[in-house]
Amino acid sequence: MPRYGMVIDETKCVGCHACRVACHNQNNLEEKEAYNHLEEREYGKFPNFTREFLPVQCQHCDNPPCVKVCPTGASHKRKDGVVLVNKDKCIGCKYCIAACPYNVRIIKKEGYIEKCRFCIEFVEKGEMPACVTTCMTGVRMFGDLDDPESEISKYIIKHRLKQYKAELNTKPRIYYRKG
Amino acid sequence: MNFHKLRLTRRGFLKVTGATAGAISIGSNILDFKQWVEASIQTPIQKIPTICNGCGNRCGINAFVKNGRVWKIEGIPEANGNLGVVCPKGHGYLHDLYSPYRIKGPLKRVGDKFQSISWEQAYQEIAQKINLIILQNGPQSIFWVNYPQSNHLYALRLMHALGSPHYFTHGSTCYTARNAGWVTTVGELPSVDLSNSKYIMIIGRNPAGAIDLGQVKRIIEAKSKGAKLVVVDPRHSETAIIADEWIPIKPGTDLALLLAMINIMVKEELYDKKFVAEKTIGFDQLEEQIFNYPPEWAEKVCEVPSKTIIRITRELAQAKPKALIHRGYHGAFGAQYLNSFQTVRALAIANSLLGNINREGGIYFPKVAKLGELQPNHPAPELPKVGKLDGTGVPGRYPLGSYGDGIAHAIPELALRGELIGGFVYHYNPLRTNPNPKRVIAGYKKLELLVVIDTVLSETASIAHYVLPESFYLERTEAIDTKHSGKRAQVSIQQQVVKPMYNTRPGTQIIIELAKHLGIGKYFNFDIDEANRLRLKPLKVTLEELKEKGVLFVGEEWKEGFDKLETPSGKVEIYSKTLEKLGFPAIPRWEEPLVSPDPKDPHSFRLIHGKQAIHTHSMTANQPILMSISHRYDLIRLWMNKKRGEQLGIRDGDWIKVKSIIGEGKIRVRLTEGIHPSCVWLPSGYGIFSKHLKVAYDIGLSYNDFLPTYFDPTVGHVMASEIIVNITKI
Amino acid sequence: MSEEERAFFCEVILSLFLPPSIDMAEQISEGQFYFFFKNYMDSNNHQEKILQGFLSDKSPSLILKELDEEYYRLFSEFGKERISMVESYYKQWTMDPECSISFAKEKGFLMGDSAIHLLDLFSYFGLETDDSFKGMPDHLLVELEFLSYLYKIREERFIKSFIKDHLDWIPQLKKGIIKSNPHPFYRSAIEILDLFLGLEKERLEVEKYE
Repeated sequence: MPRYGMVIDETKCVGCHACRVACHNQNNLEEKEAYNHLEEREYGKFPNFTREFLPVQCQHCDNPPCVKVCPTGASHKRKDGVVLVNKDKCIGCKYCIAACPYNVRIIKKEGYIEKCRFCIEFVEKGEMPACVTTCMTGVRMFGDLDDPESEISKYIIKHRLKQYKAELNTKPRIYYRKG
Repeated sequence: MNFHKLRLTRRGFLKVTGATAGAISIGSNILDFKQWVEASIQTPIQKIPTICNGCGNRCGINAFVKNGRVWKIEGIPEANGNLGVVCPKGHGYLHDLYSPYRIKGPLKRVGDKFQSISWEQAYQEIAQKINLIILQNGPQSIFWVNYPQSNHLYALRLMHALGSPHYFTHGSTCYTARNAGWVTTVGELPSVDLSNSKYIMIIGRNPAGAIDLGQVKRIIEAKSKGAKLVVVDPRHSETAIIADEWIPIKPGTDLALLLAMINIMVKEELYDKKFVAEKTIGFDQLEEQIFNYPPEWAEKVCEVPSKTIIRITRELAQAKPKALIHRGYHGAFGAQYLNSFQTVRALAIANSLLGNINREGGIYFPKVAKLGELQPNHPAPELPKVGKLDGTGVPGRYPLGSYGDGIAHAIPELALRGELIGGFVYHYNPLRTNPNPKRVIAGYKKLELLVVIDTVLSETASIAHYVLPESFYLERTEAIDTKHSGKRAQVSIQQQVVKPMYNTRPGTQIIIELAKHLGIGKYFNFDIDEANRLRLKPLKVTLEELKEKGVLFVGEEWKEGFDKLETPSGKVEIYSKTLEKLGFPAIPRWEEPLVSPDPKDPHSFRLIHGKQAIHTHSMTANQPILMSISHRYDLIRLWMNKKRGEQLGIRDGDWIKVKSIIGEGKIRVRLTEGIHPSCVWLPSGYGIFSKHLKVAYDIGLSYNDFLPTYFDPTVGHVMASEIIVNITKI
Repeated sequence: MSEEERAFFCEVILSLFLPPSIDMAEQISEGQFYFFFKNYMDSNNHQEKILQGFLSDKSPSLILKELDEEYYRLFSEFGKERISMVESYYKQWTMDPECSISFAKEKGFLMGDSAIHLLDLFSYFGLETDDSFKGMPDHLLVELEFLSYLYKIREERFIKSFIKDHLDWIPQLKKGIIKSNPHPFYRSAIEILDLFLGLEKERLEVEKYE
């Protein structure tokens, strides 16, 4: 059983928004909806300045606050690590939106919650998520964290990676390479 | 009921085809909409390769069609320009295909209203007016201006057949200084072998923002092999984000930096001695003059510490010949400052000293496919008997100006002087993209005949006498393209993916039909397929093969080194006799920018500009999904240095007034540490003023609103960054 | 009302939405449209208040001038209001969940699912659209002509689903027209169209078929 995860190399993100649009297309979103967003950070004072873009999407946490607070069990974590929302069970109470520290859930006009799904139907057919393949600098890497031979596992072992808001103990399955 | 008094006379919109209609059976799933939708989802999908028109990069894409509609696009992995990926603009631009506001048929402006007319009426009236203008004023009074893409050969043929030399591209607002500087030094415009380079220095160019997907992928590849990337830019650009070093520079002074680098290379003997001795002329004269430009001098001018200049130069030289300073495009020196031409000269010379000309990992001349000619099957018209009136190539006017490009922003001037009377604007929008819009509008309005060929009612189309709608890019086939040639030549084709939805026609067909009505049809006895076949003939690939694959590699592999360059001496001209004869500095020397902000006035700034990844030219601002991103991420703001902003009592996000000698506007501010204090930066692509483009209308500003009408004395370019603005808090 | 009469009725309503002509203006000044529709209202026990826009004591040339300007203002793509008469505009572009074009779920585009369905329907019935409606087989004028055709060939069983599937956007068109403060003629035109379709829907709901 694969357990999916992602590596995001922040040092390569140039903020072009191709991943937003590719994800939007793949998931048939409305014009203003997005499953991923960018947080721009500036460091230093001129001329010793740098900046970076932090791509954020659902972290598919191993200790997901959204699953804990969901009254109907609509928000659930699968054995392959992916956190999904069952729209038939979702009552749109938005408790999960309040509980998620990453601000990555949206409420659809039909009344249920949605978020990044790791393009799981696509992945199960052997493809990669849209945000991974569209990127010209290769910011994202996706794969089976339980397979020591996978590209992603080898990368994580080789580099010192951080996790976003790790102190909240959400145990995300996305690892970040920071500058 | 008594109906017979009511009279109804009209032609029907539905006609019987004679194909048999089946008897209806309840349960037949075509009649019920929901069932039909289910069935239609199962329809097979067709894949057709073509070229994206979302910006000037022309990436290779596969378009997928289902039920006669475009259903998806994806990058072609073999396409040199994008290596398999598509940027947000490529996706966003598709909105125009099914937009209800695309121009649906030929239009004639009557007063301030547009009337629909037939193609036949449009062609007849236009041809009549053109021929009358030629009779009364001579053929040179007719012009054609376009953004140059592969169809331009049809336009050139049309103008020459009429006897007019006045074919223009947008080059004078974009890259003519860059081209002239390289051509003068090494004979032609080269490319950059990024993937094999060990040290890449980029001045001004921003491939990660003004997206060149192929270049960005190659930079990442070079970095993964250990290459160092240095970005020199007054603003921390998107490319600076992935660079190892960002070197902020005072805008307009890149020339000083390059002269100092040359000075160091000569003084410390870091240059490639063998290459210089064998393949260049004028090194001795360079050596004599370059002592004027030590790094300590440069530090005062460009505000880059001399220690940094020395270190970077030594690092570059150590990595040579697999080291390069990017050949550039528009940013920093394409058409920006009074000293842009000199800057490119210094750039080309600095590269030459590294011995990297036509070397792996350096500057190289790409293998471009040599396409076949339309003659002798279709003889070309004679060249026009008069030269261009814009002064390009003329000693004493713009001697180094590109004759082939002409000076696009001279068209309104020539119109105001009565030298240009009528013309065609194709795939171009000068009212928004040329400097000083009020003057541009006055010039174009003075024309007796303005025909605009476009897909939407742009600013320029809004004032045209006739608007001829071109089919959307996915609806038409174009002349074959060789733009993305590299180590091996590549030929590509933009071909029709879906049939035109409206009464529009491809640009090539419009040109051929115009020619026939103008009485010069004998030069156009071919259609697009035949012309493309003739062009492909020497390459030994068929049109069918190309249409199937979309991109094909042709010809031999590139080889390192060169025998002779296309310069008068056959060598790299560090010293240029051509320049000497024309009265220009034969060796690059320092020149101040035309204007500079007043250092004592806290309100005085230089206005510079650049691109964002989601927008280009004036064509993406009206795409809803792209404009949504602009709003969501507050991307429409002017960048200003934080300290300078605080001095004026401005906070991040405040509204400010920006004023230059020709215009003013209001915009919100982004305060940042990531920009040189002397300048402010405007993202380009906004400031649309065509009322017809409602998503984009009146959002943001364009730098052209502040740029006076300038023509630099060497090539006649716009000097796009010679703008001083006065900024006040509102 | 017989099938032929209903077919003719559709044709009359269609003519209200054509670009204005001197013929139309003359018939307005003669009160032709008013009397035609009044007969219909009377036999359906409806108030004739909504027909006020079909009355005018101005000269035909003045009526034509007013209507020309109003038609341009309301319906021309270069006019101020740009009210669309195409069904696709008012609906989600496609229901295909696998379509990965960025506006798949948006409204406001042409050649949506309804347009493609109509193209299939037309060829099923041995019809094709005029070139001037190439990208808009689901334009109101084409749909009304098709509806008239369906009455002529007595396809009442299919008419019910056609009105339900393909003319359910008329209330949105009406909203757009009313919101833009229209000339009384166009107010009456959209009201009578909306009323007719509503009554037909009701009638076809009630009548049963084997």
